[in-house]
Amino acid sequence: MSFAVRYPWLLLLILPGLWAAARSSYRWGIPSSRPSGWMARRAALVLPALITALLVVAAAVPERRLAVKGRTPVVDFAVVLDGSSSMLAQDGGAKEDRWNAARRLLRIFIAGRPEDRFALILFSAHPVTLSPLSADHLRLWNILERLQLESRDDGTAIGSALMTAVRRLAESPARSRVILLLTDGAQNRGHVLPMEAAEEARRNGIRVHTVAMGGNGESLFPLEGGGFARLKVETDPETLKKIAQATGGEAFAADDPAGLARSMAAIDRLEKTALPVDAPTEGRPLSRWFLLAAGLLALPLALDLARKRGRRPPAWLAQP
Amino acid sequence: MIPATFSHPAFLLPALALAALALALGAWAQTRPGLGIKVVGQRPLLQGLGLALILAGAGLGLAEPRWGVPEVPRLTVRVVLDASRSMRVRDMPGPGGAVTRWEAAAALLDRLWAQPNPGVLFSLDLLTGDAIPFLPPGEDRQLLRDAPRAVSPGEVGSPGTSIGRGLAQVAAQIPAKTPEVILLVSDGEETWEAPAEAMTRATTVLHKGRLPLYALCVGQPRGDQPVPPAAGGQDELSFSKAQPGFMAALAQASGGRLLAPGEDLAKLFQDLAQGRAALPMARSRLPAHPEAGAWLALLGICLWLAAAGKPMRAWRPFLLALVLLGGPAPARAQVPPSIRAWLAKRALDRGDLPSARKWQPQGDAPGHRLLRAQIQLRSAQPTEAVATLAPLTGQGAPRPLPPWRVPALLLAARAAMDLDHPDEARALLERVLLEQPGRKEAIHNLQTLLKDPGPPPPNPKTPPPPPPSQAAREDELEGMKQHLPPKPPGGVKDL
Repeated sequence: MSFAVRYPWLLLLILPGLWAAARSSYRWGIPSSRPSGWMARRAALVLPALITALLVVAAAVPERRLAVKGRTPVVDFAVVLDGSSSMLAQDGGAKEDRWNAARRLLRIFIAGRPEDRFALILFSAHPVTLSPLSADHLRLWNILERLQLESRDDGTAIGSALMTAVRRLAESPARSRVILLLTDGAQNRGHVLPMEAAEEARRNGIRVHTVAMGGNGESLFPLEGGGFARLKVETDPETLKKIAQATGGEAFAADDPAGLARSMAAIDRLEKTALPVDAPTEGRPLSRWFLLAAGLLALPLALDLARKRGRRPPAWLAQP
Repeated sequence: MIPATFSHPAFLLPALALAALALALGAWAQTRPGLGIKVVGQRPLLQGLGLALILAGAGLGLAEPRWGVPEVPRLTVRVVLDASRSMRVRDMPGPGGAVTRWEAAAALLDRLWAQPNPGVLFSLDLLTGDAIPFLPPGEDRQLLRDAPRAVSPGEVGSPGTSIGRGLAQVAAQIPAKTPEVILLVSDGEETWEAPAEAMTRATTVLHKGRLPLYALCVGQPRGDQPVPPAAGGQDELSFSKAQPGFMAALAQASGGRLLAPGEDLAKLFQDLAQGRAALPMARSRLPAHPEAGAWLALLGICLWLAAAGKPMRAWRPFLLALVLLGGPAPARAQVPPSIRAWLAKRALDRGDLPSARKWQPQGDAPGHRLLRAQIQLRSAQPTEAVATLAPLTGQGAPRPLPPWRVPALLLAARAAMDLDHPDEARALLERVLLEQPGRKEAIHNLQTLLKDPGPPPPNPKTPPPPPPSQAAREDELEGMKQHLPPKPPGGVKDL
């Protein structure tokens, strides 16, 4: 938010206006019954000058300039989040599972980049676009907040999800287009191979940063009746590395929520832009406050008219 | 151009009443004999008039008259698409025979989303017994065009159609002061409650949210049509009849209207986004002009100061000059066209479109017309640009060729492209090449327009396999289908 004046040169009128108002010989009431206290004399002098100054400022139209978000994106992100059932695993003794950690850290990531646009893609056996590119961060935040793991068809279709993300970014006019892939598994579903999608991303000039969630060892999985089981999820960090390398991105590995936080912070640093673009702004005039003050200050002057006399007195009364 | 409206019209009446009071007090004081005018030179009638103008001006400014074009044109259209079972009725004319209401609605939306809609975001909600949020607002035309393909009418969400509840649910998600409208595409059949109740429920919410509803009715209003069952389904036999009257009443009650079948939706939404058609004031982005009131009040204070006492006598000519010369409109009108053109060019170069529009030269000089057309093109007003350039792009080319001729033809070609008239653009570019052979921009633009593929290769290779993006698209459509809530067991809830 910034402030501007729509007609700044009009402010030059304040000085002559104040001078003219100060030269006025206005006095309350009529000569025979005029209030003569310090306050009355001072008010008669100050009031017209103040009203003039307020009206000049109102005519110059000071305004708040509010940026219209999403019109000149610098970085467009497509966040591709794994929604397979393995995301319920807990790693490294952490109490937070992968799914909740990823959603929480994505919310923080989005909140830290208010100028950028984000698309959200959730995938398991099939990808689904939860949000196209959007600068409405509050809505994105709410989508992530309410998002549930409820896939009817489990699996991991990394290639299709990546290709969907490429399609979401294909028409983006942003200077930099980035896919952020968070997954804990290996491709076992879908009609598109991960490297095919990576090639398509490279052709479109889109970088892919990958985050492999979960370690090499066993993880704790919640059981339906309560309790946990120790299981090992098949992962494919090599493919993720190749995807990142092919597209000019970086590959990260996050063994636990703390590692994921570090990876997200590193991606945030990588995608900082040195040349921000000024978003178009829209003005909200502030003149109303000046006009309101001028109108209220004019009321005593209007009421004072009730005590004025305008017609010349008859000759017989004027003569001594 | 829509008439000026006010952000806060409630200020107008009290301000006018106070102004009338000040004027009456001044007139009354003027009629009373006394020594004031003789001793200090005060003229109560003029002072009353001045104060009346101050109060009326303050009221006018506080009411904030709004006119002009939005600084950043934009609009969000919430498309509510009926996905109930009755949309399977095959009673809409299509190119190869009758098509279902759903196919007709999907084709219509596809036509809308096939063309660029700058500044307009679309969301998609499906209307069944409830509204199902399907796609949040965005500009991704590819996604929007794919989305209806993932839906089979009558197989998602709650059974039946509840227009009243569905619209209320959609309206509840819409922020209060953003420029948004609802586009309802439906057959208008309400099956959850009586039409009068549905109407009351929907219009109450739409009215409260100041949300205009534009309705598009699919289906024939004459005769009950049998609703085909779903593939392999055991649906009961039922009949359906489109209700355009209900939709028209609903749209009109909310400040919108029923759209004609062949109406250009893209143009309607562009007009709304760019302030050429009216949105409710709470959602409008027309710029506010409180300075109109401030200038009226300044006129009033000048009058009041001039009549406030004898010492101001010497200042009266100055105050009069201030009033005559100071107003922003006269001040702008007095700036010579060349300076206006310079200011507009500078603003355009630094990307400040509102300032460029403010200073755009109005003269008939070719240079000024070119600049004006450039500004209009940047402001997405190609029709106006064509009108501006018309005198410069006539068939007869003056000789020797003036320097403005080719840029005018190139700009006119661009405007024609923006208006989706490629033939006209092509003719204009060919004229450029006729009048100035070898002009590079014209050759480039013409090649782009014709999409000249160049000579074919001597040995054509085998066609490439379908791109992986097509497979990803199929996967995504399946993902969308799975993401939608399934239809629960049980029949349609009828009255």
